[in-house]
Amino acid sequence: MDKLPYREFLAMLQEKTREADIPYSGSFELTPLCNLDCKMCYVHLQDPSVKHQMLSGEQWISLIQQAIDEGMMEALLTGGEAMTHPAFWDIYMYLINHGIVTRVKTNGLLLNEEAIKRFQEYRPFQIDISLYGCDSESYVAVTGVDAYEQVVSHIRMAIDAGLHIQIMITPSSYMSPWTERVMQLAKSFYVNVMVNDTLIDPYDNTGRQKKDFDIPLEEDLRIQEKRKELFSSGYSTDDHEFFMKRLNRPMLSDKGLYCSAGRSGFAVNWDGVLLPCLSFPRDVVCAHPLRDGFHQAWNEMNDVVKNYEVPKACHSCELNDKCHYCPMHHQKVAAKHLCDPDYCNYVKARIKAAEKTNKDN
Amino acid sequence: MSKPLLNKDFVLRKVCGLNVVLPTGANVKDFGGALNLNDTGALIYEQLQAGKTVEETVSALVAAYDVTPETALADVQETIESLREAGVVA
Repeated sequence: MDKLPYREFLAMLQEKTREADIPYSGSFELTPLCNLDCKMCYVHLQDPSVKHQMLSGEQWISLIQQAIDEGMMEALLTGGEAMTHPAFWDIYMYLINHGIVTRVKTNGLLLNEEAIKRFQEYRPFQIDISLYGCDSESYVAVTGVDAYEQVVSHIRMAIDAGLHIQIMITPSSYMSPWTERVMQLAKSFYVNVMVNDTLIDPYDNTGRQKKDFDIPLEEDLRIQEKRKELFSSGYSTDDHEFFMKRLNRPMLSDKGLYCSAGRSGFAVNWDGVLLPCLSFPRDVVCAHPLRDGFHQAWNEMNDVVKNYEVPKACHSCELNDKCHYCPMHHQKVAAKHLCDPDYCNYVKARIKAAEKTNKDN
Repeated sequence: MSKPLLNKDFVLRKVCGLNVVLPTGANVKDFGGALNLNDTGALIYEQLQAGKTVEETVSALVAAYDVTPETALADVQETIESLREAGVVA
């Protein structure tokens, strides 16, 4: 009888469940609504009629129970702002009371004293808090709301309360003047920090376009260099890639995607649609657990992902041992099994920069 | 007849051939991990969960596996002791 820390336990399950096509890790996008208005958000909708299309607490709990029946062990509650869902605590407690290793992603605004007390009593595995600025001016520039003091105070309270906090930073053109200072502020909390290196194409009905908030490649490379300098021992998307590369599977196969999305991971969007991950292109695959039940929806999606043919170009690409094809990154052309040249150029530049850094070191 | 009491704030999950005991509710903060049981351990856990006595659990083990009652009793006692040390049995 071994007692395993959660991280070890989850790592052990990840490969086993992927091989067995068991949906062990689920992300639940509880709402597209938010109490901030980040200009680069791919989810946030402002049309009040959305409230009537959102899933109720009972519907989320029913989906969660069906996922548990299929083998789910780990869950992420996200949004929009997940904590604004009227049934957030019911859904959260359902997960905790069923032994699900639970993460919550939040902008920190509702992570007040009362919420922290609740999380202390019924502890999540981790709370990811997005940090959007380093002062009031930068917070307003990115989120449209002067929430700086409140969020920073909540982060400090949550850390002092012993909760496992990870700070998330999403650089965009709106953050540009302050990005380095935001990273410095994040470092001052002495917790894990993740700096996103991927800006996601917003959903069609958000009225936003990625080109409006994207950052130039050179700036992105500078940010990632700074990130490595500041957070060499922390989490990052690069560490995630590194972890994935350690897995004993080829980055390129004739059929099927490298990543675990749709193989052992899944996401349910705010409107109840099942996807391999939160921002997976729906024209590649999407399923309908509310209509068909989770079991059938999962099997349908899993089948498509397992048989997805990556673009022919990947097979002759010289970097196909360093880069794996992800439909999310090739959003507009993935359904045609093609590569987006802009993303390929970005990856090539990233790899070249990483190789240069390695040589210099 | 000895009837060990399982702490109700745990749940046994079976996934990919693994038997895992996970904390639930307020117990998560104190336990902070997962207990990996072998098949015998899982059977014993399920018997205790169903409110069976040690003697009934031994009988279930003898019926499920080709073991003598003496061996089964030793297994049951050892597992209960380990579960008690982990806080899963009161």
